[in-house]
Amino acid sequence: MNDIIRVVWLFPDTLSLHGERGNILALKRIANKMNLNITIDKFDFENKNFNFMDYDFIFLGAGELVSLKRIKAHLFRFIPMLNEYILNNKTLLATGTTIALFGNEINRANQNSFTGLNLMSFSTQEKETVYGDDIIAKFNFPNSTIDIIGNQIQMIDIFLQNEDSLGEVIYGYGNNQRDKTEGVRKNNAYLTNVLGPVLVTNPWFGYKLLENIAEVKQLEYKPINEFELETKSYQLKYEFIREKESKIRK
Amino acid sequence: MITISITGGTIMRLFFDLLFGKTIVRIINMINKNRGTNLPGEYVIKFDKNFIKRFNIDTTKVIFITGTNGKSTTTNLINHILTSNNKKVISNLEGANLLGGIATSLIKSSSLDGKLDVDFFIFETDERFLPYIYQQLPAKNIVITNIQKDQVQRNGDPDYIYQILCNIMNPEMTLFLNNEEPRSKSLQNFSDSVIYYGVEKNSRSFTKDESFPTAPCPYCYHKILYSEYNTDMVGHFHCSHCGLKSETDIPYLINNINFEATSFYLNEQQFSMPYSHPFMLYNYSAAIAVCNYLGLSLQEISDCFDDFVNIGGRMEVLNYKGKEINYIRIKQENPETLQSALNSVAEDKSSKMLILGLCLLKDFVPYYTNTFYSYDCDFKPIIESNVEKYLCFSKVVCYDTANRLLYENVPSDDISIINSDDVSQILSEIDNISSNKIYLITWLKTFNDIKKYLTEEGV
Repeated sequence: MNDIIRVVWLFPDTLSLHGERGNILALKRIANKMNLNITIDKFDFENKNFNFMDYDFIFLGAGELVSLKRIKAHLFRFIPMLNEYILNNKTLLATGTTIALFGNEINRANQNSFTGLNLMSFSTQEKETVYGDDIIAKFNFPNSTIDIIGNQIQMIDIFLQNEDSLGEVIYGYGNNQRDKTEGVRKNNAYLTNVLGPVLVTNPWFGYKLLENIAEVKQLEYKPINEFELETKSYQLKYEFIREKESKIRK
Repeated sequence: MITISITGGTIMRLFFDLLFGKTIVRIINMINKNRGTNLPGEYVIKFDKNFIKRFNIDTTKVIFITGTNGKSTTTNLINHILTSNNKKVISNLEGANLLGGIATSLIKSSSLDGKLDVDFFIFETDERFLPYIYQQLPAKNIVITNIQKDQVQRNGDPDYIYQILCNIMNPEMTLFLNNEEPRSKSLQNFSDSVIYYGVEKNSRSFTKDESFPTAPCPYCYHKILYSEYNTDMVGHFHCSHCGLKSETDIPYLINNINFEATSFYLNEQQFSMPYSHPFMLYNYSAAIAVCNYLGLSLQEISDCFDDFVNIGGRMEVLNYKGKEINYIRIKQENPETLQSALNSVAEDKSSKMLILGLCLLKDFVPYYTNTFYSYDCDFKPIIESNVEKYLCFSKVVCYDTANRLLYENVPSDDISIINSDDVSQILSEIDNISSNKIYLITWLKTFNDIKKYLTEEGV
C-alpha cells in the first residue's frame, strides 16, 4: 500500500461546479507519466468514519457557497484529524469558493454568517456581484515558484489573518483584488481561487505536488520536465491576457 | 378572446408611450427589418418605467417560460401550436427576453390607444432578470425548463439563479416544472398548482461512469442519483438522503419514443418529432403541457407538430464542395448543451470529421479563456463513433480544446489545431479529409461567420 499514492476526492457530487473532475484525471495522467501508482477514493456525506491519515492527497473542487454549511457540519467531527493531516505536511488542494471552508468565518451577503473549519487563519466575505476572469499567478514553494494560469469565478473575498498566501497575483482578482495575494497556504495544504481543471492546464503544479509526495514516501519516479502542449497554451493565454481590455490593472 | 382595455388616467400616458415606441419601431424597420426586437421597448421604459403595467393585462393569460436551456424553442413551439389553433398570441419569438423585448412585443401588438386583441401572452423570460419582469407583469403561469450550469462569469453558480426564482415563486402561480431536473422539481412546494412534464427513458438515454459527478440535491446538498440521463443532468432521479425525487406518474410524460420513426406518444396520443434530438423532448413535453392546460386537446396540439420550424441557428446544414457541414450550436460555459451536441454526433456511426470550437468567452469585458465546462462532458461515445479527424480551432484556447481530446486518449496525430477563428483556414482543413460528413460544434457567432463566408464566396 505504501508504494501507492492515495488520493481522496471530497464531496465530488456536491463540489462539482466547474469541471473539477479534470483535476482527478490530471493527477492520474501525471502520475502515470511519472511511473507512480495512484488510487482515487471518494468521501461523501455517507462516510461517518474515515481515516484521512491513510491518504497522501486530499482534493476538494469548487462548489456552491450555499452547500458549505452542510459540508462543514459533516466535516466537523474530522477537524482534529484534518488539522493533524495538515500539520504533518500532507498534501491538500482545494479550489474556488470551497476554500472558504478552511477559514474561521464565512460571511454571506444576506448576513447569514457561519464559522468555517477554522483550520487556517483567514475569513471570507461573499461578494454582492460575481467577478469572472482569467488569472495569472505565481505560486510559492519552499525553494521555488511556479507560474499558474487559469480562470477565476470569484464570489467571495478572502482576507488573510495570520496565514501565508499561496502566491502573488500577476493578473486577475486573486483573494480580494486589493492586496495582490492569491490563495492560502499552510504547509502542503494549498487553497486557490484558480478553479476548474487547474492541474490540467498547469500540469507542472500537479507534478510538483506529486513529486513532493513521492519524495516524502521515498517512491521512485520518472522526472518530467516537458509539457509541450500546455506550455503552448500557457503562452497563448498569457499573451491574450496581457493585451486584453480589462478594468483590472495589469 | 380577451380585449384589454385601459383605465383612468393612464390612457394619455400610454398613448404617448406607444406613439414614441411605434415611431422607434418604424425608424428601425427602415434601417434594418431584422433589428428592433428590444430597442423600442428599452427606450419607452426609459421614458416610462411603468409602461408594461399600464396595460392592465389579465395575468392569468400570461405564461413565462424561463430556465437555463430550451426557453426559445419552447416559447416558439407554444406560440406555433396556439396560433395554428387560431388563438391570438403576443410573444417575443426572437429571443429578446428582457424587459425591453417584452415591452417591444406589446408596442408592436397594441393599437395606439393601448388595446391588445389577444388570447394569450407567451413570453420567454431571462432567468436572471425575471424579478424585474415579474414586477411589471406578474404572470400567473411559469414554465421552468431547467436550472443548470450556465454563464458562470455573470451568474457564478446555479444556486444564484435558483434563489432568484425562489424569491418570486408564490402560491398564486401555476408552475409547470420539469419532473426530471432536480432544481426545477424542487420548486414544487411553492404552489399547490403544479403541473409536471417529463420524458420516459428511451433509446438515447445514457449514463456516465463513476468519475463524473452528478449534482447536489437542492434541498440537502447530498448526491443526486440518476437512473439515466435523458439529456445531461436531466433524467429520473432521487436524492441519496432526503425525499426529493422525480415522480413516476405525471400527467405529461412523453413515452414510446421512436427516433427512427420520429414519433412519440403522450397519453396515447401520437406526436411527430419535428427535430429528433433527445434534448428537444423536454421542450415538446413542456409545450404540450402548457397548451393542453390552456384548453387545446392533445389531438389539436399533435396536429401542429408536423410543420413546426424552430428558430434558426440551433442545428443547421451547410453544403461545402459536396460535403455536408452539420452545425450543432452550443452555449459556452454550458456543459449540458456541449454534452447534447456530442451525443448527437455520436449517434452517427459513419466516418466523419469533428470540428470543435470552444472559443473565448466574449459576453462582456473582460473576455476570458474558459473551457473548463468540457470536463463535465463525456467524450467517450463520440471517440467510439468513427471520427476520422478532429479539428480544434479558435483563437487562444485551441490547445486547451485539443487537450480535452488527448485526455480521452485520442491520438495526437488525429487532431489538427488551429489558433484562429479564420473561416478559410477551417475550411481548408475540411478539404484535406476524405469523409463527406462534417460536424461542427461551436457557438453561434463562428457558425454565422462560416455561413456568411460560404454565401459571399459562392462556395
